[in-house]
Amino acid sequence: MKDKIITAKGLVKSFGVGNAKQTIINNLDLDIYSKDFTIIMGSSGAGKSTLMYLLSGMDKVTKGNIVFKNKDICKMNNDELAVFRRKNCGFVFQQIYMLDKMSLMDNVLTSGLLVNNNKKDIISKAKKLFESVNIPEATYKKNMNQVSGGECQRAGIVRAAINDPTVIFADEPTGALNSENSTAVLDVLTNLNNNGQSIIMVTHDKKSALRGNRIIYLKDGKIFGELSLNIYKENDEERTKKLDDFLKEMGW
Amino acid sequence: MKKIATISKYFFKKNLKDIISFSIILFIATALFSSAVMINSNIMKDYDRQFERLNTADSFFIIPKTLYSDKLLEDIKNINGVTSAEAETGIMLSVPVDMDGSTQEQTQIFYNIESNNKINKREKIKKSNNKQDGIYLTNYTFIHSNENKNKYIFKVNDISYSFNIKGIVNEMQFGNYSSSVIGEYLQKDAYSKLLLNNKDKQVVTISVKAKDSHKAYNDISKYLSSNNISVLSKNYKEQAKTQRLAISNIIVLILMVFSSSMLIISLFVSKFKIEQTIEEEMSNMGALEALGYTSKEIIIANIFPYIISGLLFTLLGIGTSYLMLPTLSTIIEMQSGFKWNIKIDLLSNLLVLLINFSLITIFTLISSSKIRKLNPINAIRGINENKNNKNHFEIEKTQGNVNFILMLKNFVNTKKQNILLGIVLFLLTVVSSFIGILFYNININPINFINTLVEEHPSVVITANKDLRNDIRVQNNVKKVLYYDENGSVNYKDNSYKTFIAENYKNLANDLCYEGNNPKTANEVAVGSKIKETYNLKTGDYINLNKNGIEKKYKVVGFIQSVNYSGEVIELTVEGYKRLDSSYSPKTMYIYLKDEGKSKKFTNDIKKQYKNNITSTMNYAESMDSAMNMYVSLISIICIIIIVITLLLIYLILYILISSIITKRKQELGILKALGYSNKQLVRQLIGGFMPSAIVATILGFIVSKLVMNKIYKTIFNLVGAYKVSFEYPVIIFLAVAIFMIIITIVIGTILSRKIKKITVYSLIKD
Repeated sequence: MKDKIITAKGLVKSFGVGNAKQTIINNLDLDIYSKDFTIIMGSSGAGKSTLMYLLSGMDKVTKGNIVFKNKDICKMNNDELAVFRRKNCGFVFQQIYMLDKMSLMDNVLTSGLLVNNNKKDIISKAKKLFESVNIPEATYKKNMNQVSGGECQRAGIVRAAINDPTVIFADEPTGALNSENSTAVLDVLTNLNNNGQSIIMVTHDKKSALRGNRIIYLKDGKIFGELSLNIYKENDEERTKKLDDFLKEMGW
Repeated sequence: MKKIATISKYFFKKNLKDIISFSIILFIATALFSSAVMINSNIMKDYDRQFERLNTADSFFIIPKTLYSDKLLEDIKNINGVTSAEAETGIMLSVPVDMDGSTQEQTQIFYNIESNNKINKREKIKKSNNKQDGIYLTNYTFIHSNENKNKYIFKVNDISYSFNIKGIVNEMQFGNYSSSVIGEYLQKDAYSKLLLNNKDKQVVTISVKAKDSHKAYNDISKYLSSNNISVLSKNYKEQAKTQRLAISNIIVLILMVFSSSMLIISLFVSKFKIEQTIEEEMSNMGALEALGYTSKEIIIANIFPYIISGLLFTLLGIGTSYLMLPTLSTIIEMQSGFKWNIKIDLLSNLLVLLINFSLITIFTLISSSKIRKLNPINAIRGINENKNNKNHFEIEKTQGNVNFILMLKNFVNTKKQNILLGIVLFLLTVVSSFIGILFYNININPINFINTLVEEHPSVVITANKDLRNDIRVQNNVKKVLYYDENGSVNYKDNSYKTFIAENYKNLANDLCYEGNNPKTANEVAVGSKIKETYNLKTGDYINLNKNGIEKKYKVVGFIQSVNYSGEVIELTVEGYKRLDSSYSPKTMYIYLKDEGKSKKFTNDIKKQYKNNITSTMNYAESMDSAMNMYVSLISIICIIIIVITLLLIYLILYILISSIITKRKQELGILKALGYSNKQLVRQLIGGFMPSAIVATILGFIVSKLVMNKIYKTIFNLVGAYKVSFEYPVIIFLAVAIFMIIITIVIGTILSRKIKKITVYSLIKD
């Protein structure tokens, strides 16, 4: 029996005012479980990223509530959410969003030192994480515009993982990368998940979705379908077929 | 032109908020600057115009009526350079008048307004239709006299007088308190009523028109002195003008300094914004160059919004200065008594417009010169060849909390913003320190202001026919009593000079000596600043003074200031004066009280006690208190205006800087928020990033103010004839200003940075 870490009930997210109001998430219920690699899929405009940012407390719900680790994050103010996020959420963005004029290491420390004041510990932890994602010292000392996109995104994952968050939220992390770099990034995420890290990833890439053990398909702001998969293994044809069939059924 | 206008319109729209801020600062600077220029040019012109229109005397001499004869007038008319002269009888009284709620002892001379003068004409401005005879007051007295403005009431020698105020009189002869004597003008019956009990106070004013007012003044002074005619009061054109317009000159200077600082700030704002636009719009500019626009065309389009809004707000500022002038005119009128007619002054307006236009054009052109160096391809790709991506203050190596390190990073990454803020805070610290010092020396410790602008200031002055010093000294509340006379006169090099005579200058409350020493022996003399300049005197020189045909040699031991007599004074000891006038015996006693608040009671008591010996008394402390009240209100108004403008400036500059940072770093702030940084932390980092430059600028402002403030005040007061500025410059004032600037920067910065709170993390990233 897996632990529930997030429970969302009656989620509604609308944009605009009056007649121009557009509902992106429409009365959605969802539970997220510990140690799962949850994939959120759907066509463009289905509300994938919006749902992910709502679950992480990055955006405010229009209606409904989200209980994250027994806390109703919808009742929190911005600063309470910030404190909650730094301890419980790690983010990996499609556009990476590394801080300019900072080395990759400084980017990681900017996040890490928010939770742990012991600089020595955090630096040593960051170094280990960089090593685990195959980024050598010479690279992590460089600024984001001096390294490749793949290296940068792997550093982004290190930044997301530095505080041992409850969940890592990844918004199309391979969207801006070439095939080789994509695989490297997905491998890093898979390794993290294998080590017990809960991950929620938004993607519209089948190859990326294969890394997950739970696939949620959104349509018109609602969960249209859900698929459970066993643990990811390379070249697992049966698993691939299962996903293909599911996506076909969903109208992918 | 049309294509440039289109791009220009785009730049204008993009920078609209900042152009508005630039325009507001420029507008305030122009309004103040234009006011200063117009006051400076118009008040002088108007003063001279009114002086000519009323055919005012170039110099005048008030002597007791008993010493006057027609022959005397004829002799004066025959003095070389005198073109005409006229005598007029009046009644000269020491009058305790109600000024702004307190009693001020003034020497007033009452004339019959119906006398048909050719020199010193008077323009009556009727204020009341009361049929009874009454009084026309000079503008100065009218402004400050009691509130109901119907009756002019005073008491002399226990007799009360009450005159209906019929109106005010425009005259250029006396004017205000600084001119030592104030003229008031009675109608025939009222004049007769006053004369009835004051026949012995009758005086004759000899008014003179001359080719060279100063020369005629000296020649006549010498002539009167040689004929043993004591002069009760005298003055000449230029001296009277300086006395009346002292505050006007100081106001002009303060406005000039403050408005220039603001103009500099507005220019730096335009420079900062243009450079920022170039950075932000580099790709678009590159695209424009690729399309065939020349860099010259892009530069014009870029600076055009600043020049146009600069011109527009300069015109608005000039227009507003016309609205401000009546208030400023009232402030000046309060001190000078001179009613200034505000007229359109196109020449001054054009000058201000030209100055602003030239400065804005030059500054914006220099700021946009980088556009010339843009390489179209690099620009389109957004490659800034000068962009420095160095990772300053590496978190891994820098000691301290991560928030502190991020604050340091903010500081180095916002160099331009910090430079602009630094310049603004430095200038404002100096300007505010200037105002703080002025406020301290006028409102908190007014004795310093009094010592700078007036001569000796006892509590009570009495003239007696007997030496009462020892008797008075033992009375309660008396600190000291000494002989001091400001009405002596000696000649030097054919000129007659007012002479101060004291037993011992060390005992006086106000040391007028700004170089060398006061005279201590009978052979020593100290001379006024103007005499020093005119004859190029140095300490140690010997000069020959004469009086009534007796000439004696004196050693110059020092130089003294005298604002009221434009530095044309001489200081001698009693013994030194006696060498020229052996019959001289001091009669005027200066009494200094321990508690000046009780000066009124003391004056009344002493009058009763020595009624057979005292010929006149003057409650100087109360008069000075009353005069100071006027300066206190004036300076308080100026302080409030400058504090409000300073706060507005800090607000506008911080608005520009913080908005530019939030806009530029929106995504970065979003990332930090996503990582879990709270609004409070981000606001602190943002404000903290400004703190090093704010602190350095205010410390620099503090140091520079402390070092140069005395020089600034010396320069300003030199212009009105004060060479020894008795101001104090307490460190606490400079420190308080510096701390205030830092606190206000933090408070305003924090308020403005709250914008960060309104934006959700999600929108920060998505935008």
